[in-house]
Amino acid sequence: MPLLSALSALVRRDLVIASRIGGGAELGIVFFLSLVAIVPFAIGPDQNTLARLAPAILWIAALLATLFGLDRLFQADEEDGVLDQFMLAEAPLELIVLAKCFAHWLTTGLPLALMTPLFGLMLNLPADAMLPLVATLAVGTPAITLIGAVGAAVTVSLRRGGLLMAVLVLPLAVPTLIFGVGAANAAIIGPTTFGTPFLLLLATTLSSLVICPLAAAAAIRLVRG
Amino acid sequence: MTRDLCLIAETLACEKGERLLFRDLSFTLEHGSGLIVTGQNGVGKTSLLRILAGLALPASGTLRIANAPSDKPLSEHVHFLGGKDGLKAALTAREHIAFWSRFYGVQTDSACEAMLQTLFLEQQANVPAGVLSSGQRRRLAFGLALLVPRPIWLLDEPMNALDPEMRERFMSVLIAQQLAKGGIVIASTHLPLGVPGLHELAFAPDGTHIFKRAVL
Repeated sequence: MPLLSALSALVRRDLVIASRIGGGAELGIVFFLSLVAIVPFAIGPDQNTLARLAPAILWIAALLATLFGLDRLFQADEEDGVLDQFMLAEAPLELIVLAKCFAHWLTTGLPLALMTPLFGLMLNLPADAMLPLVATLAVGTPAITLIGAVGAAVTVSLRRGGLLMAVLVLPLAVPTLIFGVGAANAAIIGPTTFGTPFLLLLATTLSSLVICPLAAAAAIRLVRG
Repeated sequence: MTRDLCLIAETLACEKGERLLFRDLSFTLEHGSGLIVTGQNGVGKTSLLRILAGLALPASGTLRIANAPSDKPLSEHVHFLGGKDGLKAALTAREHIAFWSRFYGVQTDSACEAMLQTLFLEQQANVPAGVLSSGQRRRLAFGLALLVPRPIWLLDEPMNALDPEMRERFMSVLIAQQLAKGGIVIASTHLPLGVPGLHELAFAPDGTHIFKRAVL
């Protein structure tokens, strides 16, 4: 299947570039760590408070760490002219967007989700909440990347578009945040079951998977047309 | 490859911001013919090429191809070599060729070496594009387009950054080959392409244009 091998080549290319120029997974995790580390200074060292707020803190940290640098998702390709070549390619721009989002998630969202138990310890997160929280982040971070991709597409030709992108994207990420934190809290303190908010979180991710590549591709065509 | 192919532009106009760059631009290019676009900086040469590639929309006018080898959209019949090389600084020449051949769906594990030879880049195969010279980057960018044959080439200042020897041995030869195969080449240029029998579209600073036989 030539289209599939084209897209997997693109994913591999983005992973290789991310590993060579740095600023990908490692920096995202360090940023995540810094956010988690400064929160207890603001909230205070009360362990019960920290444990209660831990899912929310970890989710907000993951949200910001994912968005951080996402403005470069298409901009880097725009600056060196690769985006022009993508637009002339046979592979649909929507799927190119999807492949780039997948590569971005592999280098940011996934490592963040996997590192969460470690950072949860710093916030006195109960042991039995670790796995549910990892699950919510693993399922929810793709939605953040995809929604962020729309913002990155709109701001692709702006040199200092990072903040504007965040302003555009954060309101759209609210459902993901609500259901993500809701599911994690449900696993710790109840009273609802973990399943209900988790399935809704899954639903936001799946609908982002359909809508966001279309919206991002349309935005790229519009901005550059 | 492309008998009877025809690129037809009718009353194209281009605006940049509020400014009208050109209007009433019509031409028909038949297979095997080349057009060079000349004029001062800012008259709309690059904008015209981007419109022809489908990367930008004209303010008015239509653009179509007749007798294309397939019914794909115009942009998939086009190679566009713009001012930006389309290279990733972190990837080597060999990795660029490997990625784009997979991306275009052509199997070129053996052809990779042949391509490096065509581009006169055998010595630089494993050098990241970021440290190649601008002439070498230009050749590599051109080579990526050569991986998959497309009938229409749109070249923005193809001779830029190339030394006189490479202009003659590389760019002129490839353009002549493309025309001999029945392709169409449109190039904006300030320098002679070294290929006989081209047409010229000359833009005047006031936005008017004339067609003539290229003397370059």
